[in-house]
Amino acid sequence: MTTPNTLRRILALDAPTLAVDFFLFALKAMLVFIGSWAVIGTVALHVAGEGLTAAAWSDVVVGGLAQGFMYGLIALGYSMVYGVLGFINFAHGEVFMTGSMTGFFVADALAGLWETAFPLAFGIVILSSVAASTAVAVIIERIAYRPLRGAPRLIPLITSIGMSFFVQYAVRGLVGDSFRTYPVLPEGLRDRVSFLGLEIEGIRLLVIVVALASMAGLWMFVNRSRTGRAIRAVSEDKEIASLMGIDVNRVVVTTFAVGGAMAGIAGVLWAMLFRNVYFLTGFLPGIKAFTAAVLGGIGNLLGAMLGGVTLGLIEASGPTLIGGLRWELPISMGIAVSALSLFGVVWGLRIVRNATPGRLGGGLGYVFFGAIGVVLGLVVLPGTTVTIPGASQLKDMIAFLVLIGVLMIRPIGLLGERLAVEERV
Amino acid sequence: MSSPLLEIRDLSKVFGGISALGGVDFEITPGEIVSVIGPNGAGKTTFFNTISGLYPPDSGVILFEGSDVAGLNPDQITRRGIARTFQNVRLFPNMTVLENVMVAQHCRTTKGMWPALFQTPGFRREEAEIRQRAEEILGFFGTRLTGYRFDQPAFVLSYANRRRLEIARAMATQPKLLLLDEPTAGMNPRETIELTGLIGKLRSEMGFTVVVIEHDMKVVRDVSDRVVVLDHGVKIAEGTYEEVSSQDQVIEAYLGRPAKAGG
Amino acid sequence: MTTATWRDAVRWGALGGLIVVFIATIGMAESFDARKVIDPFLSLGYLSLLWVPMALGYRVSHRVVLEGTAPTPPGARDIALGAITGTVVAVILCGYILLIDAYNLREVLVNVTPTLGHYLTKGVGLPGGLAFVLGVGVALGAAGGALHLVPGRPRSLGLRVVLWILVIGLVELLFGSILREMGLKRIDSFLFNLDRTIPWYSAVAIGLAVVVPSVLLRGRAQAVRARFNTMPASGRRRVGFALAAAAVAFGMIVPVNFGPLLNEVLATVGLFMLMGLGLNIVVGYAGLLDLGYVAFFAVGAYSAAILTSSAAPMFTPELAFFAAVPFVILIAALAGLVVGTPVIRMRGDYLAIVTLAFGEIARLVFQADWLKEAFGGAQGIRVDPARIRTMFGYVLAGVGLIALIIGLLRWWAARSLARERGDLDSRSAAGAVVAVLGAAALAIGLAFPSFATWTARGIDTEQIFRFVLVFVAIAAFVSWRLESSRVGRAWMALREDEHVAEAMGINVVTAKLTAFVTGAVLAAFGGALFAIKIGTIYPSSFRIVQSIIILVIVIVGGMGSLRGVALGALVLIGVLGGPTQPGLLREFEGYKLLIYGVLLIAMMLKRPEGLLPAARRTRELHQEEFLQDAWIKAKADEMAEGA
Ligand SMILES: Nc1ncnc2c1ncn2[C@@H]1O[C@H](COP(=O)(O)OP(=O)(O)O)[C@@H](O)[C@H]1O
Ligand SMILES: [Mg+2]
Repeated sequence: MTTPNTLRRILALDAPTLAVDFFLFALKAMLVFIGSWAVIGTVALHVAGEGLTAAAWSDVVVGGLAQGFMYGLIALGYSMVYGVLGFINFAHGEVFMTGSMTGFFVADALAGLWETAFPLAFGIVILSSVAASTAVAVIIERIAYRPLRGAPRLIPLITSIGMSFFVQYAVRGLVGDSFRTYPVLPEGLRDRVSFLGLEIEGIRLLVIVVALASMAGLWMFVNRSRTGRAIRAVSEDKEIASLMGIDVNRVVVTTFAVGGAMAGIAGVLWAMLFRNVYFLTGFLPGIKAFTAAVLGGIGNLLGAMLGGVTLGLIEASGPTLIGGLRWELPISMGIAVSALSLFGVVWGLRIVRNATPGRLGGGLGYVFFGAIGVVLGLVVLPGTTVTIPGASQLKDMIAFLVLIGVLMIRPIGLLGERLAVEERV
Repeated sequence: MSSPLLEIRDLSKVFGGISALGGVDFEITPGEIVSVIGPNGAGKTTFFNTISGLYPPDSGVILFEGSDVAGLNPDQITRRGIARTFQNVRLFPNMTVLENVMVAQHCRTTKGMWPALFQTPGFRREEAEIRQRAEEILGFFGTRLTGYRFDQPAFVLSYANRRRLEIARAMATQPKLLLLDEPTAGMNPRETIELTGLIGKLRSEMGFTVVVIEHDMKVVRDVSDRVVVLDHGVKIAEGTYEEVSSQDQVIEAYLGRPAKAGG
Repeated sequence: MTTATWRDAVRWGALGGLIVVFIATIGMAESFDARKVIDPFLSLGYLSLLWVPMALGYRVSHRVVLEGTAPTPPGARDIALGAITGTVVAVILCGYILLIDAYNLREVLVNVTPTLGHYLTKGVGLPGGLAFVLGVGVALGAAGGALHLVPGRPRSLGLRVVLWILVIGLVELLFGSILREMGLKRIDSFLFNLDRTIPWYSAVAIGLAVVVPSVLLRGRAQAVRARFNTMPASGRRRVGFALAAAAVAFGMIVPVNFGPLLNEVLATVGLFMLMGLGLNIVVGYAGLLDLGYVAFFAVGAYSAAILTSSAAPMFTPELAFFAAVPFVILIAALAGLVVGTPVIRMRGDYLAIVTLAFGEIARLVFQADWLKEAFGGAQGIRVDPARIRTMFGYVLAGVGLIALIIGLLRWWAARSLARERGDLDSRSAAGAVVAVLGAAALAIGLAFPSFATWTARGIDTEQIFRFVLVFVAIAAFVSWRLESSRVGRAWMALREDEHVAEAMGINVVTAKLTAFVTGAVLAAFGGALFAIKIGTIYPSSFRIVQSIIILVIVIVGGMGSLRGVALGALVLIGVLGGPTQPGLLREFEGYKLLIYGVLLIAMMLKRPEGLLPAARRTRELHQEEFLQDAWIKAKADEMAEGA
């Protein structure tokens, strides 16, 4: 099988690189394996009648959707800025938070109107939140990022980290560090409504509808309006765009403004769903929304939305999925794993024999871990079950693992990235 | 003649639908100086990038001293003896001139962390050798990069000196094959002439085999044993300067061709 | 044109007004008021406002001196512009005072207290107070502008006087306890009032103490500095090393007990210095922006706690501290590999975010109920202080062994060199001496393993501080040695241009992983010491802010600069404090993260290379300008050559 020639090629490989390739392969294989175990296990448990009820599932899905749409709205800001300027605007989570906070004060002041004429009050709250977020985003761009145009991309990233802390603690200094609770939702939103055969909490439906509408608006803006076309031109190529008479500065400001507006809308929705807001509210949703943007393909607007929804769903169903690991792996699964692994071994041997040296490491990984997989599948796996207590605590961890997994396995995201600044050797 | 130092067969590379290299064959024997010419966007730099491992080729074989290096990491290729310079000079701008050349000896030296921490005699000896070799290599360019220049950061150098330093850095990896990407670009006529002579010396004094991408036809004529012409990622001509420069195809490639259907 | 106009003055004044209003509104001014600097005129609270008109009044007629053009000479115009700036600042503040007097904003802006207006007018009350504010604004703005008229040397001297008074007034704790410890109670009670503020007469005395020696010693200091600057690079490095070694030795030996509070702060400073040095390897040398550095800190703390404590939930080997250290190193190195490997092929900004994710994951893992049996969940692990012994004998033996080996090697190498050359080298003698001393240390260490058994307890802040200092010295030494070695050069090449580094034969995988592992081990030392120091470790001690604060230290000090990182840790952590640990100025407690944020932004915008940059990096990030210079010069050279 292994000709002496192949052996010599393997031995000539550089050991650390080979080891790293190996390790990465193992990590990816493990992520995929655990992921599929969780999913299959959940389904199997459900079939066996041990899992969640259908109603509970619909709650999980709708909750995930609502959460995901908000992630998507925030992710748009990350995605657009990355597309146009090529850096991660770490302070975007804080833009979201300031919108949410402003929304609270307006809603609080309009408490009467909020009960009697909710749509009107809601509109005003959203508008003021959007105004605040937009203003904050634009001011941040003017102060902190514009002087850094063209600097290596880590510089604005570090600046934005500083900005993020500044905004958090400035807000704390201004309005204090207590949780601010939005006024109670009107009747209609607290109840469950029937929609497409599902029983949905009104507020979640509202979140989804408003988010979809904002998305549609943004979509129209970017694809139909002149400014939108300019934005797209700039995110294709800044230099050519400016040669064609597009005012790049204006486009950048617009990008920040639009991203801020979306974050402002998300801010109000978020605070209505979770009821309260304080100065650190922006941090986690910010990172998760960035994850969503990467997951969908950064620079890609549809991708941001898709990534958001996917992440929301994964997160919402995460604890249940972890529960799926309780499912005892049956012998048939073990055999399936073995068969797949065997296929991996054969595949790997083919790569090893034919491949250019650079891909040898990967091929060897297939062979090695395939062999392990064969043994594991037949000997160890059948009958294994893992019980993880307190799975709901691991929700955030799942989001972070998704981020790491995506960047390891498919860094361009689901729909592919679109960037103005491409790294060329 | 002796067996080729580098032998390339059917090398291709596609960038998002554009075929930057479409099945190039190439060969160079030890001690040769070969020029690669062609209009902008012909795929010359891509050719270098795939040989030096910065881009893995989509298909093809790159035999260096008889073994396939296609798809190896750049550092492994450099370790085997192929060094290069970049069209858009890429030094380590904040390291000093000397350090730029010292760091390029990385793959020829071995002392890692522990010897450095304890300053073992072996470490000191190796460090002294690295330094000495770096000074020797910089001395190859006359006094331009020596003396007080040793401790200057690379970014203060003039454009021509940066190009020289880049060549010095490539030499410091102790290669057998040297790939120079437009070494005279941006130089004035005097400096160009000087560099032309230097390329000759790279072979005669240092014993390198050289592939050079060049736009200046005078330089091409003066330095090369053989010329290879690329256009649209395809080799359209090969031969001595005289042979190549008279071919219609080459002239057409440079001056533009009449519009052809599907061309 | 480059000369400023009244429009500029108004613009700067408006900016200043906004800053002042902001500082007042977030409650900084009022809550800083407790700290008096000069009794009875000046408190830190007023100081936080008063610098604004002065600084902007100075800034407004800032001159951009272009090469070849003479700057406009300073004159009355500067004062006038400064005064306008100050006026605008004051007018805006007056408007604000009127506003908060008329409306109750407290519902929204929690720090706009009823007393704020009163405070801002320094208690004068409304109509008169406004005039007072205006007067102060105009005066300070004009004074700021007038600074342009003062020649350079007096100006810097004056600045130094002000700085010293402020420093002594603000960190009276430091000076007070040092003076008292040294038995100089008299000076202490002269300098400070009973409430630890500086009376006006000691401010004058401090001023004299600064001015007089500086006038007398005038040329001397400059000469020393000039000599240092003309030394060759290796000589400078050696002097730097000697100074650092002297500082550490001083810190170890001086018998002064600074008192628990100061020791506590110093220990915190040391911890952050240690981690700053570690992060400096990752970010400063290798250019990998690791935002999850806290993960390694946590790994170090948890592994040290589990290995040494009797109270760890599952696994209790109860090792002595130094016996645990090798395992801590091993675990940290593994953690470094686990975090480093997945990010190896990611581009810089994704690397930053993914390491951040790892940082959070580490905390969530330590906190999860799922692994409660291993890590104690949210309750954490109690570290049994009595059990952290440092068996100094073994340490001594280890050091002796290393010295013996090095000495022998060096002696041997020098002898063979001498034989080649035919003359005797003094270095062979040095090697022999080192070897003999090493052997002696080894013997003593083995003979009396429990010699100087040292019990460090969390409450014993002095010992903790000295202990931390040892590790800081180790970290600094490691960085210093690696900086100018093959490994260090490879890191720097990586930082400059990863692709080119790879094309020049540097194995990116190895280089990045060694950087990650080295950084991780140093952070883990920090974590282990933190575990001893604090007594009980909770997952909530390991938040992202920690990583960010270490990053601020590295960036403010200067990426890749050892003295920069040391200074950064000393000043920032010493004054402001760590994420949960207090610094000398407790008033900053609620505002320090705000300040850290502002520092990051300001540094990136104005001085990305840091306050004390590594010589080599001095102008790195201003390259654009520099490149242009170089280009222009090259063109000029070319033309000259052509002619
Ligand atoms: N990293 C890259 N991504 C996409 N296209 C590339 C990349 N590098 C080169 N190309 C394309 O390949 C073609 C050949 O480029 P190049 O090799 O640089 O030409 P030359 O050096 O002959 O001027 C060009 O059309 C260029 O746009
Ligand atoms: Mg080219």
